[in-house]
Amino acid sequence: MIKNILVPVDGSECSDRAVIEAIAMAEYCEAKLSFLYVANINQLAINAYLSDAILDAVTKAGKVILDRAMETVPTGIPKEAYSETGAPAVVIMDFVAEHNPDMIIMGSRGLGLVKGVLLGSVSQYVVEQSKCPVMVVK
Amino acid sequence: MKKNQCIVVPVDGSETSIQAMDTALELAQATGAKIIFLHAAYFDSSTDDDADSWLPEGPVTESVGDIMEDVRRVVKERLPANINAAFAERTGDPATVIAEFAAAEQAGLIVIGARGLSTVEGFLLGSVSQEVMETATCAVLIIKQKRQEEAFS
Repeated sequence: MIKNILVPVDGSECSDRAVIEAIAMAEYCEAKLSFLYVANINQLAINAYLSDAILDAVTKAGKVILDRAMETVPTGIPKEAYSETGAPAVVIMDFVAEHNPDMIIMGSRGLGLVKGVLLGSVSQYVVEQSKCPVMVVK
Repeated sequence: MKKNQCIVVPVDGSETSIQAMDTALELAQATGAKIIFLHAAYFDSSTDDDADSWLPEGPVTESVGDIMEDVRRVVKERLPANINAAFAERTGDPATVIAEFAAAEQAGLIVIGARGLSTVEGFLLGSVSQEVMETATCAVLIIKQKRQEEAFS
């Protein structure tokens, strides 16, 4: 049975639709939702170039996206929010290895570094690498 | 996926398509959605008659009818009484056929296996699920082949 659903979010329209699909799925299956936001910043770049102010701004942006996803979830459905930093595809798969979700639900295209292209490849990468079922939402 | 929307499950008789079928049945039970099992292939019994088959031996010569019969049998074994299931067969480019079929049925979800039987079919199916993921207008749930050790546990 599907008990743990991972929902990587990035604030894009497709990601919002993925959140709605995930909530419906969680209701049907009585599953827990884990929202994951990955700030696409290279850790070295943070250390070397980025000021705390920029880092704060990025973290806040991620918090807004996660909060919006969390607020959409009706009460009664267990939910958690995670914020990470790094290359989204890699961080998502690390998270999967650690938390072993039963299903991943994500948007097919987001607002990544080079808009669309990169995030298109994030869902592609996740579909290729993941052993659990992946739902790609349009 | 809304409650009144159906789930389309493309089937080809492969192990992953059976896994996709199981997942779809589980989802249908939870959602009350209707399932349509779709076999889409380039060839059907009219293009590949046993008596004068022009196709090389192998998976392609397995006619649509045979696969659908297997699917019907497996579904009958596993289908809970409260789930509504239908079967459909279409001839043409599988990815296109699947995407168009799902759009025509206003499906809420396509549940598809990510890898098929042989190298050739695996390659073909890998690209089918990929293509479906790209062209479908509804959500697509990709079911991955379980690793050997997991499959037996």
